[in-house]
Amino acid sequence: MKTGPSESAPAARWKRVKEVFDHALDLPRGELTRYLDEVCGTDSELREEVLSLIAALGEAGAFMEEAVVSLASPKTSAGRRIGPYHLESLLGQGGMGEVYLSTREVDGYKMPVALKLIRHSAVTPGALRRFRMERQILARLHHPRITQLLDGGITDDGLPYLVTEYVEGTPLDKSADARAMELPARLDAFLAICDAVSYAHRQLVAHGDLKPGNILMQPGGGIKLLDFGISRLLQTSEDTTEAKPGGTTQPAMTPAWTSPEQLRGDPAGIASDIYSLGRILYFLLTWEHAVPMEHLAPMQYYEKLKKEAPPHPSLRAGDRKLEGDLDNISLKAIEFEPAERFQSVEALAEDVRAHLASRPIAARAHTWTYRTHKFIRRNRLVVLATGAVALALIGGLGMTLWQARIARLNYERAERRFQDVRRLANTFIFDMDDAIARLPGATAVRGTMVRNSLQYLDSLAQESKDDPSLQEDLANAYEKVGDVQGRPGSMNLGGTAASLQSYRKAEGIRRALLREAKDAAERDRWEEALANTLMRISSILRATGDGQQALDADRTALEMRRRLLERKPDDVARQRNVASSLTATSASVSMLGGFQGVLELRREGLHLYEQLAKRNPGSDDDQQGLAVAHTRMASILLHEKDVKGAIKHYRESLRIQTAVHTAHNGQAQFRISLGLAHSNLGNALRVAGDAKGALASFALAVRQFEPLVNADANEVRARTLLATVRLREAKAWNLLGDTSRAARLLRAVLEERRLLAERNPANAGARGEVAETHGVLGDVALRARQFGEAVSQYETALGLFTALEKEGRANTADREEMARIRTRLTDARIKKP
Amino acid sequence: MTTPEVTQLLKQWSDGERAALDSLTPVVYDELRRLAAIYLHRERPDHTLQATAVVHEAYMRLVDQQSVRWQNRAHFFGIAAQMIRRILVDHARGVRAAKRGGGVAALSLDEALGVSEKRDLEIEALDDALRTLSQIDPQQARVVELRFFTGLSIEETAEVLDVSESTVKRDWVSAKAWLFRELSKIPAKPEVP
Repeated sequence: MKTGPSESAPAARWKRVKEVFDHALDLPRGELTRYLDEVCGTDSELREEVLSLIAALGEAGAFMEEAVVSLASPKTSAGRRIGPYHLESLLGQGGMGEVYLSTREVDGYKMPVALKLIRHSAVTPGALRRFRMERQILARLHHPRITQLLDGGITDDGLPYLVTEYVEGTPLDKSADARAMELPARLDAFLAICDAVSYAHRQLVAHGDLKPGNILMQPGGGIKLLDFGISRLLQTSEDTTEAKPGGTTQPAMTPAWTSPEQLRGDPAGIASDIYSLGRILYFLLTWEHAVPMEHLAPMQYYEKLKKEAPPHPSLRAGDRKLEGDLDNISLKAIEFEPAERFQSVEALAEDVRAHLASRPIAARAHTWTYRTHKFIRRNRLVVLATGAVALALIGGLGMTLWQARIARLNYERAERRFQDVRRLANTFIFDMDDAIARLPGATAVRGTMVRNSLQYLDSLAQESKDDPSLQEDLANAYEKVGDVQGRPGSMNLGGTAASLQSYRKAEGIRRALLREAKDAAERDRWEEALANTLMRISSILRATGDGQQALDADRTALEMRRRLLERKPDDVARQRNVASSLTATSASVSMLGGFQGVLELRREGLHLYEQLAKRNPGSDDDQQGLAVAHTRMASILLHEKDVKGAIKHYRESLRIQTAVHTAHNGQAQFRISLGLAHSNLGNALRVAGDAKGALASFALAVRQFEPLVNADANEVRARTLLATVRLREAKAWNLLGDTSRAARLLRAVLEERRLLAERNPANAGARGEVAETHGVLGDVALRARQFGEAVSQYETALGLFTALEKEGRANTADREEMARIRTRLTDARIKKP
Repeated sequence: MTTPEVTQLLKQWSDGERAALDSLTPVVYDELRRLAAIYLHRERPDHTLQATAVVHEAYMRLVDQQSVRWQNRAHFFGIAAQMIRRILVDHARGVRAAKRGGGVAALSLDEALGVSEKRDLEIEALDDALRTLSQIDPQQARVVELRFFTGLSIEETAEVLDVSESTVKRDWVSAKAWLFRELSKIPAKPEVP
């Protein structure tokens, strides 16, 4: 937010009004009042102004839009102008929007085009951003059988649109000409379709929604494919209430023709296109749908596809010519398991050609019950087919090239090619990761990246011992891989031990570089880099319960950064680094139980962050840093029983997080912080005795976490946090006396936490949380006067905590909890009948 | 001046040569005025549509579209917006003045004139409101001007003003609300002098 040097009061006022108004528009109805309360406070004028503007907007309707929209029939947009295109008439309407015959004037000539307006609930601001990237990729598809994408954009109302060449023709399922074709001609047509799809796959674009309705039969007899890649533009919506895997339909494709894995929510890819091609072949052979969907819901249809084998086309059509080869080919293409289908469109096409030429085909005689493959080798396809096509492009290219080069080079030291590969690896790791860091559902892709990257890096490490710049790249790369593997605080895969290993590799390299530093500038640089790595290491060590080691790392990093700051006191980046080191160090100290030291460290950190945030109001990182500093302050105050103080700081943190989140609506990273802020406030409210207030906060926290968990079940952090919220909720219910509800919640939490602990045995915190849950179950049982149950739960909890302690992995919170439980246990034993 | 010359000037100005604008302005203004006169003479009820059409046609005539980027086009529309606004407002005032002055136009009281008179009033009211707005937020007023008078998209507007699209979108939405509120206060019937 910029403020001009000489801004008048009314101007500043209006700016404020706009800000609030803008935020208010994004809020769901229920939250409006609360938000205005928070933000306007006693400024009733501001409140009135904003509310009146909201009302005005509601009434305004098409006001002022008429400038860019001519008077037209309210049902369609025909007659309208979009950019340089004039929409003449409606060509068709579908689930995704409308297609208009449109014209664009070029040199006095009105060029006809097809303009597809995409109206779809999956189109969110995030999807729109990706839309532009994907459009560019799609525009590069040049093939005589693929309708050429010419242009695209977003209308003023926020609707994406695509402009393609205008093609005359009838869809395959409605074309009388098609039906009149003899079998060989139909197969030729099918080969033409395969040719187009195969081309697209080589450009790393999948169609995602192939069906007869998308294939035009042209008057001259040619074939044209429509809607390439469009379904993918609408998939993986960031507003994940739509995109529940295994839940409701991915509404962006036609369920009746789509592959089973797409029904389940997986993104489109080579295998799913092959499946759809198989369905189309089946259709061309029999003029029937292989497995009719009728009135089934998508998930039921999925089950049907899984269980039912479609009848052989020869039987279905009663045509003996189809027996044998064509039966086998079409059935192989529509196998339920992707691994059992043709592995490429070329392979499918080749078999068809072979049949036409009376050569033997590759597809074996088909037996539906053949099912030995459990493991589906989809890694390559996952990389190919995930949301952002750019990701796929770079990833696909990178992997293929890398594999090819490594194979060819055989570890020979060809310097120039070596540099190329290194550059590629950096792109591979850095650019992509930053891009996908903010997408939910990205976890599986990152897993693939990581495995390949590590292999590559380790081999590089062997070769590059005497090259310092390469060493630096290596250290960066290991660190990045470590980040992906499991740095707490970002979306992670729960691989804590592996992550630590990577970081240690980076640390080793950086220490070596520091030792060899030639001058002050280099020394500063390596020191800064080493401090960064140490911070990451301490973060992991805290998660694994190694408090003392974590503290050592933090202290070292803090000293280094303080030194660096002394050398350049006005450097904002160095200030930030010291501030974040203070936070981290205080966290390590508190883990070990030294609370006196913690308070001072946190006050110092908070002060620094306040300054930073004030100086850089537009910086998200500083805002979040300040929010976190408030949270940490609150948590230490809570621990020291100053509940009022804690609540004050939690509220402040929440206020900041809300603002940041609103500015980045929908992005996973910010949801987590916001959810956490609500959860913490709720917890403090409960401790203060305000159970109802607490529950309200918890509900808000759940709203942030739940969609993330639904989008990506591998997302450990969101699941962990969600479980914690539920546990806190249970405590609140217990406070209100509703023990059965509390118990129900806790049992679900217990199961979830057990699962999480199993998945990541190195994470001591996860095991501590299981123990904690038993403890709370004990509390609830105690309150419900079920003393026997209480004793049993407490004993279980203590047992688990004790085990942790024996391993040296219990932290302060664990120990405090143990002490508390021991007291309660005694109490329960006495009361037990 | 020929089309290639105008096109060249536009590109130069688009690329940052301020001086090119000096040469460009009178040419564009003349063309806009010429075309506006033709369109407005048709007395269609929707002046605002005319504005967009006028600017588009002027653009077609003056600039060689094959050789410019969409950003150049957006810049053209950027200056055209201000000009066309002026032209329309002047026209509206002129028409009303003519009617008040008892010119021939004042004698015809048919429906079309009635509607277009309301439109004239709206244009003037909008012009006034925009002026007020530009005193507290000049950038926002510019956004409205660009989009309303030339039909520039959000993307193009962002390009012309060199701000982010989200800024343009936000400004557009809040301007809509504010302007609707302001303009709802104008009387339903034109004032009789």
